[in-house]
Amino acid sequence: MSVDRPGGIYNQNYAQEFIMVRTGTQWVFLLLALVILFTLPLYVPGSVLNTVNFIGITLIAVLGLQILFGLTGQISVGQSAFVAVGAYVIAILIRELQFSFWAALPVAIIVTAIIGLIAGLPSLRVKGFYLAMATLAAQVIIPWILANTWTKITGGTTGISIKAISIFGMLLDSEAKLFFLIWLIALFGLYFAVNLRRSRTGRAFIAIRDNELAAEVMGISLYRYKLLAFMICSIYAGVAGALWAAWSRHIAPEQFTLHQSVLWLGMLVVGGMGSNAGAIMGVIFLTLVDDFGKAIAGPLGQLLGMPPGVMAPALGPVLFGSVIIIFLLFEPRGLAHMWAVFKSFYRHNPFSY
Amino acid sequence: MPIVVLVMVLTIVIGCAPAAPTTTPAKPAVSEAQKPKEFVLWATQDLSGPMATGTLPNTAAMNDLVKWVNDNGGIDGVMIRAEIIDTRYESSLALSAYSKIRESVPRPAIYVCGIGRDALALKDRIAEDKIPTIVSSPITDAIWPPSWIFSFSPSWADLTGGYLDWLSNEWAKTGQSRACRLAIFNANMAAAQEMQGAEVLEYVKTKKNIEIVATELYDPKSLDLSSEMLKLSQANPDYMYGYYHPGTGAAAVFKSYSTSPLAGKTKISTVLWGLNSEIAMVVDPKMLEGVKGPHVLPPLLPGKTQVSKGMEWVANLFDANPSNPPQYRGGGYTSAILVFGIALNALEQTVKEVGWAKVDGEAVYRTLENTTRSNIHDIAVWGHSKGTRTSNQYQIMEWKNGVPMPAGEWTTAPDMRPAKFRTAEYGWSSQGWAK
Repeated sequence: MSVDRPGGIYNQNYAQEFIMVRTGTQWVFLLLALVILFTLPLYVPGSVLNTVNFIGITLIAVLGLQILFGLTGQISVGQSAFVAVGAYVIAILIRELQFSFWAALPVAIIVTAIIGLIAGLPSLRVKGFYLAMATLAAQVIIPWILANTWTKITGGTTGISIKAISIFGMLLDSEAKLFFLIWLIALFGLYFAVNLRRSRTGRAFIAIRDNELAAEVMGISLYRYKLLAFMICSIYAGVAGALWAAWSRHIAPEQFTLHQSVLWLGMLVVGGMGSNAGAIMGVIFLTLVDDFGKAIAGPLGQLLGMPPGVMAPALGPVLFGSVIIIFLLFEPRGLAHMWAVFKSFYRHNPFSY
Repeated sequence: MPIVVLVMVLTIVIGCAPAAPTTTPAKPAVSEAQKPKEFVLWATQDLSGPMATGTLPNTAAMNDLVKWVNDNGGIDGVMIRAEIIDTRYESSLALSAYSKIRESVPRPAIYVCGIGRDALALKDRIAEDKIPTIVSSPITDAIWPPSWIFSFSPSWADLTGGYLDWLSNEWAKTGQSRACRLAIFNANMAAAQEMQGAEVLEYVKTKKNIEIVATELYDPKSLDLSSEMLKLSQANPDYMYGYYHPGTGAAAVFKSYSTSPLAGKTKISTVLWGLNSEIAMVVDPKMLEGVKGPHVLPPLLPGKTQVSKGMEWVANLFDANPSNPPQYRGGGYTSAILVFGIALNALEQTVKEVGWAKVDGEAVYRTLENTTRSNIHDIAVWGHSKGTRTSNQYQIMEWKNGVPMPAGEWTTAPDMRPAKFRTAEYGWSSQGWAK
């Protein structure tokens, strides 16, 4: 997305070209946001922190998907399965081999990256709907393997429980303590994603997304960069899976479903594909929509004269589908574009450009 | 960038300040004579997910029971308030609900968890937080090793052992020299895996006249199981047994069975919730005729006439609330009365022993741990043996004329605990359950 600055303001050197935070106002807002974020545990109850932690883990998974789908244009409906791989690898290492979290994390990342690489091989031959089917195969096969094979290690459908992890001698046995771990990693992942987008590799990804043939003609190796995109996406998934295992302390195959993969794709669509800010907005927005649905399901069901428990399971998918359709119809570039339009209006006001 | 890092570090240091309510809140100092204004009984249940058909009556039962307790003076004068949180059978929601529960002030002295899988996921946290938990149908890993989770039902593996005992006797009556060919067909869920697990397979070997000829798992979300039934029919089983989860599971199984080659040749049996009268909401009662299996609940029959005084009390409790939908009158209602009844009985017993001022999770845990026999409103007797955490009693029930009826006496289920817990430390003897 091109940077839109008011008329008369230009970059005068490369440092200004690459800087992420340009103005003092932006620094103030950024620091304020960080302070608010990292002091949340002081004034927010544990049940809300639980949701915030869940958002943090989801954000990491969706950022990976953003790099793969938003930047590179390679669709994947198997992200949840890759998260499962990361979660199971770290859980097995911690539980069976007494690895510490930090020792097990790189292993989980590497294993997930390798599996993501293998799952990404079809992208070299097919794209679009057919690639979606190929990644769907991963989404079906991986949870099935976890549920039905090597059950002595994976726990089968029962799953695996792990004790609270400890970092530098501190036991992370509360939502507040896990909050810092999750959000520090999420912010690091965001920082990496933002920089990736602005790097040579990120530009190669965008070129592939926009026109594969032109990109290849320009000398961009489709083979290398497509697989790299899948690998990076899987690394994010591995990290998200590791954090999921540390946060929930019990993992089972039924937690990693196709529905979840589709939900994450929906978050990208709503937030704005190709935009890291869009990923954040999409995750928060759809999580809030889901919470809203849960809150109104009971009263709405009563209002419509439905028996209890009938509205709630139906309202969630209805709301999700409606939101997706509305955004595709009226704002296909998502919340990130709406925010960009607002910023542009604000900056240029009262001028048009 | 360095400023950003510095701010993050500073805020983390501030954030780590022990101000968040993560530790056990200090109980307010109370005198012996001072009682709380009310006691909140927390519960979680799937009220809008795949189990909802069977669990919706839980809320009605919980409210009716709590109202009855309060109308009768509460527990030592303290009124009870029940709070049930819907977890929609989703792990993240169960975790969120538990976070809310554990941080309520004062910390709960007891908690009712409606989903066995959620109790398993929370097992370590429950033990760390010292909140004794009652669950209706336990997964083996949730109660072994024994911890802070208690249940009123034998584990799924134990009930399967009980079914095998019954089947062995039934087959012996036929006089046939060959072994009974048994197919095990389960929903692919945590409970089902233990029903065809190592302990069950080991137990089958002790039954000379039963042979497992097929095992199959079905996707709980699937609405058509014709291909699975076709595969099972190739093994030509005499009996088929399994866990057909309430709602869509039971409907899919019985519908697919009735149109498969198994119909009329293979007798279908099930366990627990498949023998609740609510199943008749989703399955034609004619298809259920003759279905047998182990259960732990007496039936709640239509009308006034019931199988016992306790069930008459339950029927009157249900009928006393005109807002209860008629379709809630069944096993789901009864099971909630039992589960919440156990929780309230334990609480009452603890209050008698230590007084309200000293009621906390540890005190209730001691009560539950030492409960070998407790009458729950004449519906059932609950208790457990040394080193265990759940009852071992079941009875065989049969669908007759559209209602599930007892088809046998209350019997002790075989102890199918994992092998590593068959030690004296856990009350194991060569005869099985310790007395």
